[in-house]
Amino acid sequence: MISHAGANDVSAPGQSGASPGQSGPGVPDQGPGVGPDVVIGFGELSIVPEGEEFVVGDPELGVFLGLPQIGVTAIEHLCAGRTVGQTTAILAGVTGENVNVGEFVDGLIDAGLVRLVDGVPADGKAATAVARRRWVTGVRPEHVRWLFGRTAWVLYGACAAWSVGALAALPEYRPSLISLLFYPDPAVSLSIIVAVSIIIGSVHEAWHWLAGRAEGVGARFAASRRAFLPVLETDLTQLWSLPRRRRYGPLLAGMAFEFVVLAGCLAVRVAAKPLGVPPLEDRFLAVVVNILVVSIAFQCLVFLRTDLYLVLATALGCQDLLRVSRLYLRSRLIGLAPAQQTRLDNAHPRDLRAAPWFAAFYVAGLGLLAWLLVNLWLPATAVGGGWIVFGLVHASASQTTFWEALAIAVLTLSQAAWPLAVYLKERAARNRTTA
Amino acid sequence: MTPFTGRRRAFWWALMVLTAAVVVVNSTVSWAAFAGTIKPGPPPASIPLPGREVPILPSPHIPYLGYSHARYNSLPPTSGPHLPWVIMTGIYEQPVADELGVHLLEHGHILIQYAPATPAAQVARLDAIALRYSADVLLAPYPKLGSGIALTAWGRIEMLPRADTGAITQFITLLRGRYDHKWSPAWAAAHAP
Repeated sequence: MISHAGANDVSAPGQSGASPGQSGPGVPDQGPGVGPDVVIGFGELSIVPEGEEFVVGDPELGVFLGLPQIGVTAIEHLCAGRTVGQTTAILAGVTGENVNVGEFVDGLIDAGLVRLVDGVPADGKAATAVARRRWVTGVRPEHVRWLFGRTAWVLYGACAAWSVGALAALPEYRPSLISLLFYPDPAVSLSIIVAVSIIIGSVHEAWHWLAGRAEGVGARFAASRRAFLPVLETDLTQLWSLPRRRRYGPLLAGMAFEFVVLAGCLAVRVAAKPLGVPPLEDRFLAVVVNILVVSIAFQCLVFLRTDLYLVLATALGCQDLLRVSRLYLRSRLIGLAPAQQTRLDNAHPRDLRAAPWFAAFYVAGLGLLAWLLVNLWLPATAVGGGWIVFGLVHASASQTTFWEALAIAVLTLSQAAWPLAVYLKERAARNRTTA
Repeated sequence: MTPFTGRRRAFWWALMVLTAAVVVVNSTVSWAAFAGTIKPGPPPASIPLPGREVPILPSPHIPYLGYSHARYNSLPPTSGPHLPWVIMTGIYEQPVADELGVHLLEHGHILIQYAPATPAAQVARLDAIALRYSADVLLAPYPKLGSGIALTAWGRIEMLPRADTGAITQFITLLRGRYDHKWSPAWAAAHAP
């Protein structure tokens, strides 16, 4: 189990169908869409400049859209209680062109940004989003801001520098495959490793959340997956309501926490001899170093929507880089279904610019994943499987071996069932969307 | 589906195939190593080594500690059936099961195991050696040993009546890394007669 921050990508204007469609000059054209007398109700919206565009969203629903200036203007008038027809007339006066606000509003409803249509709750994504808006906000921002102030980030950076430097200069402290069983009983060792992994992963996620709270946004927690790996995920979608430079802290916070612990463990290990740290404790610290290095290395796998992927996508100003790159790659390999092609065609220009090189990176990442699957995951699963099968078949319920095998069975099956269950849920959601 | 043809398509397919090839070529997973069916040849010729050679046994993985398996041919063992897990090197105050220790030997490490009755001063001397070679050595008590100290490497053993720092250091420095699922060519080159 590895921890991970997640942030749902923002919908590009074209993707959501939410750009105000422009029609021929002079003739008001409502075309398809809601009628001119309709009044639209929104939640409390955030509008954040993003280059030449704006990210408009309902933080409480976790729905964000990338829109041009004209879309923002339309929303501002709709928010002020003007009807679709009145807004159309105002925009026509401003732009000198007829603007299809009805179709624009349809796109907003599809995207889930609209809460009320003529006072009646809107169907679709908004209703779903309302149902699942369980943002955790239990801590006041002023109480945790000191954890993510300038001084704190200097400390985090120093810990990262020390950790990387120590691992580079002192090979004996680097993680290795034999740095796992630190106690003569494998069952005890593995139980503690699992417990430590869960604790580190949970605090990693909590650190994302606290950093988000320091910026005034909430988060949601979920069990998720990256490829075949189970992960804990913190949904930081509300970060889209912040200017870009304020999103980096919450995205990097999980790794910052891990670097602090890693630096501490390495410092104690390096000083173990003069400090007289007992050998068992030293070996335990070596295991913690192993877990932390694996976790931090995992975040570097940017093709898996990890923390550093989100940092990269944010820095590039991309809105849905991974999905667009996958579509791009698929288009180059086997072609796209019409709906996929439309989605690719409507992707944000920055996503489209980055997609070719990121897709190449993605292919290399798939190779790395395949290597990990064959060389580590399958052998480890086979080892666990052998322990389970032989332990359950050959040992009786009065023997420790039987119960160890049962515990390993539960652990192994949960590790395999977790990503599978998440995949099935994702597929069901995709099918519902398609339907 | 939207058809897509041309050189770009060939490029992306070539990239996929190349990536797959790199994965296959670099995969080190070995069913033979996993099942313990590797039959290494005789040890490489070398300068005289400390201790005595012990015939290498078939060394399959066993599923769990306590699982019945073939008997070892030395005490402590220097090869044979072992757990798939590898225990860390370092100083242990508890005995380490043979089935765990053998796997460490299979990766080129050295085991120093002493009789429980070994005087504390000698154990302290062993601790100092194990700390000095912490990446190579596992030190632990060994209840099956009536007296003295056993040094083991893969296929090699030396029994000492007491903690002789010079002999132990020589055993470690000459035999570490000699074997790691196969006889090490680098070790053989460095210790050629």
